[in-house]
Amino acid sequence: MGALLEVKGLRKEFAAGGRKKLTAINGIDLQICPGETFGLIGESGSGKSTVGRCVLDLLKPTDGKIRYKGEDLIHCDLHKKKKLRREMQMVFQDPYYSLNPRSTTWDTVYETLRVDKCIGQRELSERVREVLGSVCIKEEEYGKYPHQLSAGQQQRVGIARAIVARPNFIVLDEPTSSLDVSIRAEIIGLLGELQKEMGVAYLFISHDLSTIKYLCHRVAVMYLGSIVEYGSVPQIFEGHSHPYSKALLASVMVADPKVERSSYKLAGEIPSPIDLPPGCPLASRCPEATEVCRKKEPDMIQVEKGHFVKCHKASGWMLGEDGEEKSL
Amino acid sequence: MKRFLKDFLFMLRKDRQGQIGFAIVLLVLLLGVAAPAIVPYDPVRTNPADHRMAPCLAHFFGTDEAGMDIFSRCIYAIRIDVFIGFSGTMLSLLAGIVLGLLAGYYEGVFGEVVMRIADLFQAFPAFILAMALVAVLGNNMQNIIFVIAFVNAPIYLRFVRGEVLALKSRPFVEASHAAGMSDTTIMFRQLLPNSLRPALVQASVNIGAAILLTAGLSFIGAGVSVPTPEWGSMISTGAPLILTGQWWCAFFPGVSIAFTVLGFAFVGDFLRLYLNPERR
Repeated sequence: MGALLEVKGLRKEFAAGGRKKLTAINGIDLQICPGETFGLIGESGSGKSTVGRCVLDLLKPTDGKIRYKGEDLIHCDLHKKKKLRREMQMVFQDPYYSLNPRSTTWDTVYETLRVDKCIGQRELSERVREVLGSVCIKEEEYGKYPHQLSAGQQQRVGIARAIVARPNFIVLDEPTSSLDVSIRAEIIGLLGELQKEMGVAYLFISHDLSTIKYLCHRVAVMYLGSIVEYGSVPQIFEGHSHPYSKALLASVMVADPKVERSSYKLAGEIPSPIDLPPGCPLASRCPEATEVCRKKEPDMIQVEKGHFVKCHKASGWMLGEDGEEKSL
Repeated sequence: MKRFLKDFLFMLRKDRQGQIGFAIVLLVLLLGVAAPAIVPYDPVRTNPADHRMAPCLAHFFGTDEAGMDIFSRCIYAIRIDVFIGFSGTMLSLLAGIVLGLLAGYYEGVFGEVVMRIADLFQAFPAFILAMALVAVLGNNMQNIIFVIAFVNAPIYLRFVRGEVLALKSRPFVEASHAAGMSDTTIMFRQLLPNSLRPALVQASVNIGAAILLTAGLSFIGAGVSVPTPEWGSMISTGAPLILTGQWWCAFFPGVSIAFTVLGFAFVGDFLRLYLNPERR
């Protein structure tokens, strides 16, 4: 299967006053296939949302290549860019702020579709109605403003806006994290259904591991602007993994008193992304860090088919030290 | 629209100051519109025989040095002063909104240049700047409107730009970009309706100030020229007569200005509260 979206060596730096640079994304590679859900996890400040915005051309990357359906997205003429852009949409974290406060439900979706000038008046209305129906927005909600809708309805309007132009790829930037639990389930269910119907690919950005586990096919773990590990859901959640992923998974609470929580923990806070030190970005916090970790940045190593880890220790796993590693 | 009106009247019912303000403004506007039907004399007809007459039944506000009826002139002046104040404010609001929108959206070199030019205009006291501009452009009504627009535009520009800067990073704007909307669509359909409120409130308060500025310019002779009925120039010609006891020549135009400006200030204050969503 050819990749729908291919990201190579993506870097994004922000000026941080004076000569200092904030490295939000430090050279990442990604491949997303048509119709799949690719999860991107990591703690706050790891650069997940920046990746989503770069991929959609909402932010201009400092360096790197983004190819969509084989076409270079960064260096192409404006006309083509506009066309490609409409195939890629985004659903945002905060449903209220993602809607124009002076725009009704109907207008929000209608204006988005109207950008496509080839669609006639009649078809426009029909499609807006159809899309609003598919996200379960009732007709009495059409004339309401965002502040008159519930959070769940707001997010469903946001989803309707994203899917109305029939995109092939949607970035979901923590679409459920500001919703309460019951609505969260409803939105996740809706997203799953839409994927089945339309065959759209998702880049699902989240720090909610249970959601990722439920919805995603493949997952990448991000830390301080780098992808430290990626693979399929079982590979990440059950197999060997990068110390950071282990700590991330250990931090999830399980609603079962019989399950013993692993005490695998990282020391301290995520370091500042301004002027990154050499070596492995996790070295200062990693319980398994050695001298070499502080000096040399590890390479991405394939530990099993489709499962990549960026850690010096990973080269040892392939030599078969299974039991030892698991006990950690 | 019906709900809007109901809401408006509900707020107004509780606000005595707002009621007075609207009453004054409506009265002034009505007098201005109906001026030809109300006034007993032609406002620019001189009658040397009746000059410097004290207020009496034939001349409610007396007559001035040239024998022109002050009451008629005060009423006719509404057409000049309120018109200049209002259209000057509207023009500056329009310029301020468009420039503010552009300066906020295109933050880089363009935005900087616009803001520095605005700084330059605001560095001078408004009245001094207005005087200088009139001296350069020449004093007719059209130029005074332009000058008022010029002096006030930076105020609205700043309000709108500030709102645009705050809104620009909101996700709904990003969503508009992702949807492939053009910059003009985003600016005028997405950003504009959300960034008008502070500028509109300021404009309603500022109409009074613009009237005062018009009268002030005319008072020093840099505004509307003498035979035209205008409050500022009437005060100016009447002021020396106070010493010889003819106080009414300057007094009644002064009261007219105070009354009108007070009305607009009250209305502005009411709108400030009415348009503030947190007060509801």
